[in-house]
Amino acid sequence: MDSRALKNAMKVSISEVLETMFFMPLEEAEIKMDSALLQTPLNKLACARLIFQGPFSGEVIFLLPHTLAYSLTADFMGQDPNETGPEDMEGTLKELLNMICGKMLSLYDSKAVFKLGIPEKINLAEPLHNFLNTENDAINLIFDTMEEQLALHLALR
Amino acid sequence: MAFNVLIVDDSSPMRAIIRKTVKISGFSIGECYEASNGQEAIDILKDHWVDLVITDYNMPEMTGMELLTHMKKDELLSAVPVVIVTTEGSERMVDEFMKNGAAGYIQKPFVPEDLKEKLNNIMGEPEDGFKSTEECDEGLDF
Repeated sequence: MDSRALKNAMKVSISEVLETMFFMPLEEAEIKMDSALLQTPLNKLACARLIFQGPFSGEVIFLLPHTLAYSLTADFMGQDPNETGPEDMEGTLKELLNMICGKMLSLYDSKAVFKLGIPEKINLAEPLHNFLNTENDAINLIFDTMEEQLALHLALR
Repeated sequence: MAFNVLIVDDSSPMRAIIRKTVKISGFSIGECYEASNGQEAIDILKDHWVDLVITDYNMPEMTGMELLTHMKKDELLSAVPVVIVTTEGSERMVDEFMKNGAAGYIQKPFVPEDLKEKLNNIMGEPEDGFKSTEECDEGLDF
């Protein structure tokens, strides 16, 4: 597994999904302890996880502040943000992660077959910097949007 | 002639996006049924005539591929075109969709024009303008 190529596939896929379907440009940001996202309380974050299996297996976690998740959902569904409920937000978050993972894996290796699990909403039980610690083996990316930051985490199993 | 369409996806936001795209595609749409997995789709197909199925692949209970296989084995349903709209992008998977009888394939993320073009290829160009039997004035914000 070529982690540099996989990291690049993560960047391209999240940018393409958010730009194509949400009109949201992204810019990669440096992961720092004082990053705005890392300062967000856990109970203010929306997180989804998808497990995949194939030539290599792992999990991808997508996380962002609730406010950004609701804003994305409202844009996606063409709704007034005030009319956007938690079910729509959760559905959009899971679909977004599904698209990112599918695109990422096909960009990484278009000939390989990966089995994607069903995305699930999760609650983080540990501080965010544990997930986004640059010293562990996972691939972590933080992006600036026009509004707030969001992150993508990939850990191999 | 109005087409009845069945949209199968476990994501309700994605069903809403596909529904809007189909309705603004210029086709005359009769009924637009929705199911959140393959089994629910089969239950709808038992009771309602459908001219086109647009289905996701990765769903709980019954995948889009299992739905496609079921339909192709059924004398009445085998001629109904099935379009797979999915995140799965491997060449082998796409080959498998087509070998199993899918009429078309669209990878997410997609823009509305991708779906519209695929529907034109499968169902033929719409005769003229917007002919949805259900007025659709909602915006399509992607």
